[in-house]
Amino acid sequence: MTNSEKQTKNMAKGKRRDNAIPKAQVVTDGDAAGGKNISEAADAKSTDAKSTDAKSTNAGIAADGNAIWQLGFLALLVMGMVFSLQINSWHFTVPVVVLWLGWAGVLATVALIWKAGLSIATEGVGDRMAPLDVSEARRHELNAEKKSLIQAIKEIEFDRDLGKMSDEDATEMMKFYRGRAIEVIKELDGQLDEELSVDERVKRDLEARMAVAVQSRKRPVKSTAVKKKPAPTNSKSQASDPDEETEKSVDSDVKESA
Amino acid sequence: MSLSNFFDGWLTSLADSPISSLGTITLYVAFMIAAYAAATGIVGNVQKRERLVNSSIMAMYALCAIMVMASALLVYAFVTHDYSIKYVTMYSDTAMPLVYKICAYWGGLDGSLMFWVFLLSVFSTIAVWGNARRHKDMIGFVVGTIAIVQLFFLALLIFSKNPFATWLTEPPLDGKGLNPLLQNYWMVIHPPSLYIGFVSATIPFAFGMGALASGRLDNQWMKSVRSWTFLCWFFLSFGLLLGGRWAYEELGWGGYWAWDPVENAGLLPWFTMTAFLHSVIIQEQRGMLRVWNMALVIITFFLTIFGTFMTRSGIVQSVHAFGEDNELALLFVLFMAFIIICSVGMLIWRMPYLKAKNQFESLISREFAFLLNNWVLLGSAFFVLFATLFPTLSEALNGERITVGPPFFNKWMIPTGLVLLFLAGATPLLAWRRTTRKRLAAQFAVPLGIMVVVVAALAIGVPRTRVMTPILAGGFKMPMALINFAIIAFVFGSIGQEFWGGMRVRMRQTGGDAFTSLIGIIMAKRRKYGGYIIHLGIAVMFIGFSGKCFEVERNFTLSPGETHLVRDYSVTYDRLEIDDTNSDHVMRWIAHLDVSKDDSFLAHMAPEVRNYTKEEQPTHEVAIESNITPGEDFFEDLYLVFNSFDRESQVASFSVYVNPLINWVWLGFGFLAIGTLFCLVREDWASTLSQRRKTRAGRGTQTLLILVAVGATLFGLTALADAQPVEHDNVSKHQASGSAAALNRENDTALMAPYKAKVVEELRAAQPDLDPTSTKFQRAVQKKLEPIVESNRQLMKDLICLCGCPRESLYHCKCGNAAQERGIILGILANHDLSTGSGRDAARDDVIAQMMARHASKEDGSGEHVLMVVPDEGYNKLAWAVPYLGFAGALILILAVSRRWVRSGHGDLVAVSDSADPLEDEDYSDILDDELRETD
Repeated sequence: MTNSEKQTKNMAKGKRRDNAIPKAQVVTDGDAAGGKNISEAADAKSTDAKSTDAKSTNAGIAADGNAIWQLGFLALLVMGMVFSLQINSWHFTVPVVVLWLGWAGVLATVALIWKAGLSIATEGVGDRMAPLDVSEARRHELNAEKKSLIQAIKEIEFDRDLGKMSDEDATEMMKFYRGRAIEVIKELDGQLDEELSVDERVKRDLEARMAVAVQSRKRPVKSTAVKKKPAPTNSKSQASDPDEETEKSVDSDVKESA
Repeated sequence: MSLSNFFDGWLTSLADSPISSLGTITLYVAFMIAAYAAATGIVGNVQKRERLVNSSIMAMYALCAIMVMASALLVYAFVTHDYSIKYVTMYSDTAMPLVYKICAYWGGLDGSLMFWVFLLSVFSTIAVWGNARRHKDMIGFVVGTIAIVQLFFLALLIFSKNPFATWLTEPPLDGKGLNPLLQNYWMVIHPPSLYIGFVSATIPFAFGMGALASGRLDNQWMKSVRSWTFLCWFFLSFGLLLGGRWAYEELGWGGYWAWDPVENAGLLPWFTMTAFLHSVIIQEQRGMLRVWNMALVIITFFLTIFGTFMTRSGIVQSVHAFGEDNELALLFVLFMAFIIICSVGMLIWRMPYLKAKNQFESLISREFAFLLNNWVLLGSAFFVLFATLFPTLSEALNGERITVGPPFFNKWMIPTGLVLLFLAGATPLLAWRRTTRKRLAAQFAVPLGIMVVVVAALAIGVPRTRVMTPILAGGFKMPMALINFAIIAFVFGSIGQEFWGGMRVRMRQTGGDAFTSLIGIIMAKRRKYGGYIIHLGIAVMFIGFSGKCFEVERNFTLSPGETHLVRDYSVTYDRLEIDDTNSDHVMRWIAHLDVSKDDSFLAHMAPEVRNYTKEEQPTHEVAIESNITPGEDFFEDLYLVFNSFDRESQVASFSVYVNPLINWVWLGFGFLAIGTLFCLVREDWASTLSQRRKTRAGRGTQTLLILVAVGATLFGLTALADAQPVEHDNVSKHQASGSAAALNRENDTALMAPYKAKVVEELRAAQPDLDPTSTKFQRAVQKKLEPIVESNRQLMKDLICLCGCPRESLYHCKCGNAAQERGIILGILANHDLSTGSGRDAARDDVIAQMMARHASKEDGSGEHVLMVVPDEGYNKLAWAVPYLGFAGALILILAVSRRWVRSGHGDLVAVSDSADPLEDEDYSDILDDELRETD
């Protein structure tokens, strides 16, 4: 495969992966693109900013508090270590090291018991766990099955290349596993599509098609394989990062066409 | 008692023994923390209350911290000689080296239980820390399960076996000292390694229980614990091997494995863990055996607790056991019942959700070979368990405690081990799902060819490999050494073919050179090829095991200047040296011997007898000379034990063992370690290594680094394998004495005496030109006498010494009782003609009958307990029948179930492959192709 083909594929994969970004972020972009009232958006942003400021202030205070605790912990640790040395007439021996360990254990125990208590008492931590997201669980399961099927196909290919399996057997078995893998990918795509709004789906498809078109214009000879691509999906669990330069050129082309 | 009195008492105790008081308080606090973690973890997950779950996680970390403190307190008590604490007094003394004082922490029962809690707290902290976010919906159950296990052990410590307990009376001024057997560098690392293996089995169990309780039964939990299980398996293997090495160097009987109940306790979970590591691959690849895997996780954990119970309750007799304790036994039994009821109950509850996603498609497939492997491994586990407990069972059935010695185990485990070894070579040759006959023949051709060539070469070139070994029941004999080498050759051929084939496929795919492709395929399929390396290691270890068939063992008495011939070695006793430089601690008697081989000097060897001031019995230090020069005796050990001596005349008695091939066992473990390393390499590390370097220098550096890493590991392990025992304060349990009476030990010289004169006369008549004092003549005499000596030696090995040393044969035990019994046997043998085979058989039967009659009584039963091998009659038929029934029954079950699965599985395959046509979804087909291209 040539570099240009790789770039094209990476780009398309990158778009597919982009669709897997957290829903909240996608929705925000979608709302903005959908022409929401600008002032509302500005208000929302300002509220967000305020809350972010407040959070960062709180976080700062918490961090300061933590730092004080950590310093106190360190001071106690050092004091204990010095005391151990003192009672051992300032001789650094094995018993002193053991005492240090024991003292560190005491401090860590106290700190962790304190934290265990805080975990229950602190407000802000959800008392109830978020209910199990069924679709999320199903997606995990499907991704795991897809991975397993891909491994199975790779194993068949490897066995065939090693001569353990005839071409006919391998083809027949791969047909079975490929069929199932495609079903899984479809289900993953379908599930994702249901979760995305219409705007998001349109935007996703548009971006992907334009990216492919740009690539086709730039490298017409290499574009045949890409043309077959369906709308980008979120079925990939891992995708390599798209080439940045290609991304930039695609963005500029999108602007031009707009 | 009022509160003030309680505090007064406590303050007094704190003043008298602050470490003891603090330690006990620490254990109480640890118990409360564990109880809190268990309650909050389980309730938190049941009620979906995140705060509770988070709190339980913190409590789990706190438990680890407080156990660090408790451990530090105990070690502090040891290193500062705080003899107000009973445990410190019992297991240390002032003269002990520092390292053994620290190791005394786990040297006794109480400390070993606390060490268990400490290790489990460390492992659980690591496991929970690494998985808390990923498994939020089950981590509370995981913490709860671990905390319940911790609670049990902490309860034992607090209520029964407190290592911080003090003396009720005035404490002694010095301790008793650690058992000299444990004062050895192997014992410094052997117990921790074994404990790590045992304790870490709790983590997969806890995650399994978490998955069952939460209902998250996909493969995620399995992936999270896979590395743990591998690590756990590795440490268990390492611990078992170190135990073997320790026995080899310390116990002075020339071997490394005696099927001792405590050794078996470590082996049982090893079998099931190995089975799990294989069957989990099927779950990952095919989504099958999910119930089975969960069951294996439960069984493995159960066996670790059962092993702990066996070694600490006194249910079995062993040189390694901690002694009898009925109270502890009862508590363990209750806990084991609790484990079984809860875990099996949960498994049954969730059974419908653990249904397999795929089915078997053919019996000639890799998954079926894995299933067979599981059958053999689990069968081995249950056989070893059954045979270990058979003495207890026989005592319960007919009141006579039968001894099940190593010969009984070997009769079954040698063929079983070879079946496993064969599967290790055959499984990689099979394809997943199904293998056609044509392909099967093509795959097996080269390994089988290699096997045939090796067998023919050995059978013709090395006749001693054709020696017949009794296996199974009914006097059935086979040339097991030859079969062993044949299967080893097959495994080497099979694995070699896999590496070769994989490398060539990779070369075709990437166009790289052979070396890069080989490294590439290993890194890309790390678990697969790491597994192959482990299989190679096991095959190498089997080379070492087969050395037992060619072992030569001699006992003789020499005066200074005399020489004794053992195979092609000449052992000349030079002098006796007395070392009293440290006489307040130990007296050493050192025998200096010169050993030559084929008339050329080989080595100076100096085995010792030691007398420790705090030990009643003198003990021994063996001398080992390893041959690492390539040749016929490559990796052979000459093993010398100094048994006893006479101070006046300096006459000394020795045992010599020639152990061919033994060092292959240690070397095989090196392969096993490297293979494990490959299997444990994480995907991101592998990706970093697999990325193609842009420059030639970069690629060169990478290759160099890999070579250095592999080379260093091999070198280190080979060095370990070749390591000679250095001077250390170790001793063995055998009795020795400085008196002439101690030399009255019937050895090979005594066994030969009645026949030697006759044979010498015959030889002189046949070869008048040969000098009777020449080495050649002596060798010829020895050769003639060998069948008689061997027959008598075997007879004494088949009878047990009843002096109290568990499971030592009359031949090996060096106590006065054994000497007396041997004298009686020689007296009986003197009445028989041993020059013919039938005469020797008749003599053997007579001796066994007389010895049984001698020890038969109302209390002891028919006298069968003097036999090393369980007789095939009466209640004892059970010992022979159960393994047959167990193995055969399980095999029939597996075949029947598999055939059923195969039928339905094939149906599924045909149905789905007919219906699904990926061609109609070309777009998705392209996506799939993309994914496939990206997967290495």
